[in-house]
Amino acid sequence: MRNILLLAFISLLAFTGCKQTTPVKTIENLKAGIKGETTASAKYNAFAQKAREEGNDTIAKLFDAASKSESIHAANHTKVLEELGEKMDVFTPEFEVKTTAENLQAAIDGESYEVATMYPQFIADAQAEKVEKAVKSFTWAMDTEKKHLQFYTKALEALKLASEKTLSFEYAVCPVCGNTYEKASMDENCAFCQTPKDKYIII
Amino acid sequence: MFDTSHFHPMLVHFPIALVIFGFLAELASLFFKKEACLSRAGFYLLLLGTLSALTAWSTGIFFTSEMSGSAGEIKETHEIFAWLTLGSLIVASVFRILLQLRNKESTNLKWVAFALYALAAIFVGITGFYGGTLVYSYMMPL
Repeated sequence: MRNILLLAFISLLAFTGCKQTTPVKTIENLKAGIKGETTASAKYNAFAQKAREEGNDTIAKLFDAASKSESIHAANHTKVLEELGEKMDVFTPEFEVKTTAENLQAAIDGESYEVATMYPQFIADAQAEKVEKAVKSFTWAMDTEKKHLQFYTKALEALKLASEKTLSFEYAVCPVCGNTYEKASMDENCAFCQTPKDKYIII
Repeated sequence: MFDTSHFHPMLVHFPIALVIFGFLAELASLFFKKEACLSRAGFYLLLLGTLSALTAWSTGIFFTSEMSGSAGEIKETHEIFAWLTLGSLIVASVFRILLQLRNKESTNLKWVAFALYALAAIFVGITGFYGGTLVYSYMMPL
């Protein structure tokens, strides 16, 4: 009996001493995600300024809220990357600012890509490499981008119908996961991470 | 004064522990036939587990917020298994009480009672798994 226990103990030590494989794909995806979200945050900030110049204040507010949300996603991805012992490469966001209608369409295209292709693949890769925090960060971002896509689609419709004044003028952003609400439709607790609404950032 | 959203996480651990340990006592009673206390302990733990499951289920219905997105899907699965757990526990408890009252615990019907208990233990484990997934994979900050 003692020999069996000793053997079990040595096996346990050997098992826990094994070096974990590096999640190469997830690290690559986190870096791509950070670049994408940081660029999106800067881009939406610029789109907001353009919208204000064109007199579309409600759409400017939407871009402000989305910009804040994307910066939270970038911060979450960065946190996970650093916990894996990696650092993000330095880069400069590159994007183009056009008319507000064109900017909204570009935002729709970007969010559609992230929701349908990029984040589902990132989540699958992180699950395969068992990086749970990356799965969480990517999932929060993907769920939020779905909401951004709905907001942008609604805003573009409103712009085409010259009814952008009917859009929300205030938004609330969850500081933990980046979830975005029209202020009039806030949940008591964030629907993605249950953060209480008194912690939301009001834009 | 007291955040009611705390009730559900405080209470959910009771049915998990009571039902699973009750089932293990019931299982042990099959091997240690001379220990009559094991089956009796299994029976009382089943009843206590059912009452605690009802309380935990109620706090989940009344004191938790809606979730959406990926977290919402997990919450829906958790709720389905919570219903299955409560249903199987109530059926198992009523069946055991009836067996006792009619002095039929020694008949082959005891295997039906055992199977119901096993099912309830499996369901409570799955419910707990999804509840834990919800907390640790979606609700904890990074």
